[in-house]
Amino acid sequence: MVNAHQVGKVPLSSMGANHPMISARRYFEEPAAYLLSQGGPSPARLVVDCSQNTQRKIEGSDAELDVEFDPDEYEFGRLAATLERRQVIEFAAVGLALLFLPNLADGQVTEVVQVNGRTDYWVNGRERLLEVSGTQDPSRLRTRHTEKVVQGGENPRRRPYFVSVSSFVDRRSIFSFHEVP
Amino acid sequence: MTLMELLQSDAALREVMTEKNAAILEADMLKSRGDLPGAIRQYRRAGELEYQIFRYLEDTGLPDAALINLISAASCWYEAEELLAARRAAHEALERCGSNERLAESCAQLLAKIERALSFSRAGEGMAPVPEPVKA
Repeated sequence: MVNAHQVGKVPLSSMGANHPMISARRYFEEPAAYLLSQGGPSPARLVVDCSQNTQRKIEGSDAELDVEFDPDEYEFGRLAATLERRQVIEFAAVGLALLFLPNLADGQVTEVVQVNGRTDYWVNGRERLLEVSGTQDPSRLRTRHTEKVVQGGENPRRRPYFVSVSSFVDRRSIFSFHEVP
Repeated sequence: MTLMELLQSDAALREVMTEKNAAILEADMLKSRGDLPGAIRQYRRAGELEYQIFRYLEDTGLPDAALINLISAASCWYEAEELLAARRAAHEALERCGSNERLAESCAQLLAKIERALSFSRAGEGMAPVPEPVKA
């Protein structure tokens, strides 16, 4: 990508300090490192489409992050043995969203709540919601993003929301921001 | 005052909310790993903490913010199979939804799920203890 904004090196472990209220490292760092490590060594270059992120603090509509991680810090074997693949993808996708929020917008996840069997992530108090999804199928990235935008628009809290959808095979993501219609 | 401003100035609330977040995430992780007894314990704890936060935010003059925690308390207690506590919280939440039709619909759906589960269980079991308020 020619005109992408270079965010530079971003340690995966930074999610802990950036989101101190949600034990981010405990739940989301290892799954993210696991899937990123399957695409090659550290750092993993992520290309993020930010064209619909009106909250962005970067120039341009795309961003590149070089995510640093140390595979020796984790127990990937235990992770793979105790979680189904789709669950690893789900947790890992949240992990990448936790990297995007402070680096591509001014967001900190401050609260996790349960609503009718689903987990909602609140950003900056109750200012914004975060919708997250992940996929192993690159051809599904845009469709999945569209689905999550629709889902976010139907949120009963009627708050503006971020959507973060990541494809781990080709290390591409879409990170966007939306007002409730 | 917004919830974010309150969080920045109120260390006690920050601490309780962080503990509650951890309980929900731990419960989700345990459920994903198939450890249902462990998940139930965490959801029960999360429900108690959500209710504490609800009471505290309401007393602090943030009823709209508090309502989200009340709904989450009902949802956590439902997951913890504390159905009577879940029903009580869901009823309280529904009464507070006011003109927010989407939120009311979401509460009504949760309440219907709880009532269905209650109809398959013996009434009177699984009542959660009355939570203590957050100390500022």
